[in-house]
Amino acid sequence: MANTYCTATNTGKGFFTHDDRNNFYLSGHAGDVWVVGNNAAGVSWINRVSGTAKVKADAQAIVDGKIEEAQANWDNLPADKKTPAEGYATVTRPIKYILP
Amino acid sequence: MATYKGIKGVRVQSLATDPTALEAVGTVWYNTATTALKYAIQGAGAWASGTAMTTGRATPGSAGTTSLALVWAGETPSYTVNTETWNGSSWSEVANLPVARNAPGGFGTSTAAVSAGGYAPPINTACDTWNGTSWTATGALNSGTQMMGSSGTQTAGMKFGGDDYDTETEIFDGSTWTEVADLNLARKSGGSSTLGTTTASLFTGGEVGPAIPARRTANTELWNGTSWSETANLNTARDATTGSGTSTLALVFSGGISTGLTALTESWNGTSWTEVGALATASKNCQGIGSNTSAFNVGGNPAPTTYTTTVEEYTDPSYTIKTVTVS
Repeated sequence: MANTYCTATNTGKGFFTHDDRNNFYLSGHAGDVWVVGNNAAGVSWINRVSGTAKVKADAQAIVDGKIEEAQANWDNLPADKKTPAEGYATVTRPIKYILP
Repeated sequence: MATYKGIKGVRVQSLATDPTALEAVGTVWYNTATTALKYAIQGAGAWASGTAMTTGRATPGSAGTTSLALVWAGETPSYTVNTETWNGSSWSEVANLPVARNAPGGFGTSTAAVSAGGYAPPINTACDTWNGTSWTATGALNSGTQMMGSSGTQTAGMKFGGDDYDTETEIFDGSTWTEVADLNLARKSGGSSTLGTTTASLFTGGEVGPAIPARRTANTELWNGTSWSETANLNTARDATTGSGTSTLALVFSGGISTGLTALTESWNGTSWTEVGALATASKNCQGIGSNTSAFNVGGNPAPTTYTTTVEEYTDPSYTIKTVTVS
């Protein structure tokens, strides 16, 4: 299995280091979900950040739920914010995706 | 059989704790606590988590480097006057902008910066200079804009492109803006060479129109002090992106792509773009600060109505401790 999954809160400096990024795959997703390379360094990182281990299906469900929430928030935006318009940063309706 | 002592002339040292990766590059040691043989190498560029800002925001203005930086304004989601300074170890709130605005251009240093235009509302021409303590109104842009590219210093800076899909380029001499040659491709929200100059700057990616999916571009243009010329495209077209560096050594990172958000980072060597270490978290409407070897990605929208305080720090090269494994 290439990756493992957890939830953990990004505490800023030191939460993940350059060393970590060179030693295992790491990507952050909505709902404080982290996809972590499944090697000794990755497992050690989950312990270091007090991550809560998740199976992929549960991690995916958290991300999907957060994306659905973000989609609802986007749907409720004023019409002029949904298309690139004067004064607004460009935001688009989030799309669900499969975690690596 | 060759031995470590035979090659290096000394035995492998035993340490109770690992040295820092930077200190240990090129050495081997035995960690007595973890009973592991370790070594440190110089690795590729990578993003690490940084110290979060105090105010979550998207599309702020910025100036400076990863040692000393200034971030101001942006969408929180309301437009903000808030200004923060980075001293190398922490963010501190400092004097506010006179008027809340979104997506201004920004350039200069943490003690001598320029905030150009933005959305107040409406899109406007107003500019302010920062002296390390407070903001003061200065000469206005000739054309109002927001989400523009920008680079330079407080006495020799420039802005290019912006909303509403502009080509306009203007140069600032410390008090007055002068229109110069236009970009070839009208765009907003591209990645700038934040440390560029009025004689050498780069603008890449961005949004060229509201229509999906043709809105995003991979186009890159270089400014030589007189005109813009097209050069090698990004590998990944993106809008709402950001960048750092100079016209010959730059990075572009984050942004929007057809499938959503991207964490991809590309490095520019003056000739071509190469994919390097990705951000940990994909986002858009972030702000880049610094160079191609030491950069910040600050704030942004990881979701449409989320305004993050998150900072990621890019370092190239980075240093890594490895454990010797025998199989």
